[in-house]
Amino acid sequence: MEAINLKGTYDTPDVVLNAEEGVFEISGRSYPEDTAEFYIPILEWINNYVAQPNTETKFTFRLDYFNSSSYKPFLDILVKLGKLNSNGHAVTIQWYYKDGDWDIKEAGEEFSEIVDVPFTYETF
Amino acid sequence: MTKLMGGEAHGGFINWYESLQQNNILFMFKGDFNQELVNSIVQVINSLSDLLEEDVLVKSRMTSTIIECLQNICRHGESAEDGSLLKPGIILLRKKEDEYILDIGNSLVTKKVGALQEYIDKVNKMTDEDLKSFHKEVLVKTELFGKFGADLGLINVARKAKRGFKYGFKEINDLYSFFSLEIAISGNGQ
Repeated sequence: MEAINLKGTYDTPDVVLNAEEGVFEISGRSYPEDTAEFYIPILEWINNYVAQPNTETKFTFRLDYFNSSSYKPFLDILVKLGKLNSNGHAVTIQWYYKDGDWDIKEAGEEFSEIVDVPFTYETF
Repeated sequence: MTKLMGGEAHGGFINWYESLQQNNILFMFKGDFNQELVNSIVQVINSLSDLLEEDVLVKSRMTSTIIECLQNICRHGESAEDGSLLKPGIILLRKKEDEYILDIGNSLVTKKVGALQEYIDKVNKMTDEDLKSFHKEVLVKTELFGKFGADLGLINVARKAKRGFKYGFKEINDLYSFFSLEIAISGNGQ
């Protein structure tokens, strides 16, 4: 699978999706002007990945902040990874938040209540 | 009050300035909004000396709230002028004791007022726990990239605000009204 390697801008995150190297990460700020335009290629990549996954997947979210329109594509990614996890592939979500930003931590905890995949929490 | 020392024709402006000072206005902008402007406003507000002294959580809440409200104007605001695609609005940030007060205003079609007012009243009555479960409910049931942003956005802002919203609507003309929303965000240790 061809890797995705997007450099973040002021309102879009850095995205690295590289199955060969086992790196899956969304980091920075996410409040694009057009959420669909930004996230559709990422969700398509995830669709292809879950059809041919690695034995183990550690997916990292490391966000400064994200807007309400980013919640749904994030949930979509997590639901797909949750299914992968339920099908016997080891999936872990590494949810990073800035030390003291309890809102971002809570957002991770709330996602974890919806999907069937283990989360770990760390500060940056 | 400052004594005018000359140039009295400009006294009106000086009065405005004094009023801004007295009300501790940290930032204001009135004009047409777009994404680039939202980015610039976020940068300016994040570098205000008052904000620089605040904890990570206060800064994060301020940034998220401003982005949510201003992107809402970019997406759902309407110009009261026929055929205009501009998104006029106003943002005013002031500090009052230990909290930040954010006032946001924009015009919208009057026929949308009823539903919006109903939604704000509903959110305003909710406790923190209610808001948390309502957020989850809306998040799960809305369609990917559907037109749900305003709903989820308002819940998000309500969760970061210190208390319910104050709001108002005023008719501009036959078709359009002005909508204003006030959000309070706690400063450090509140």
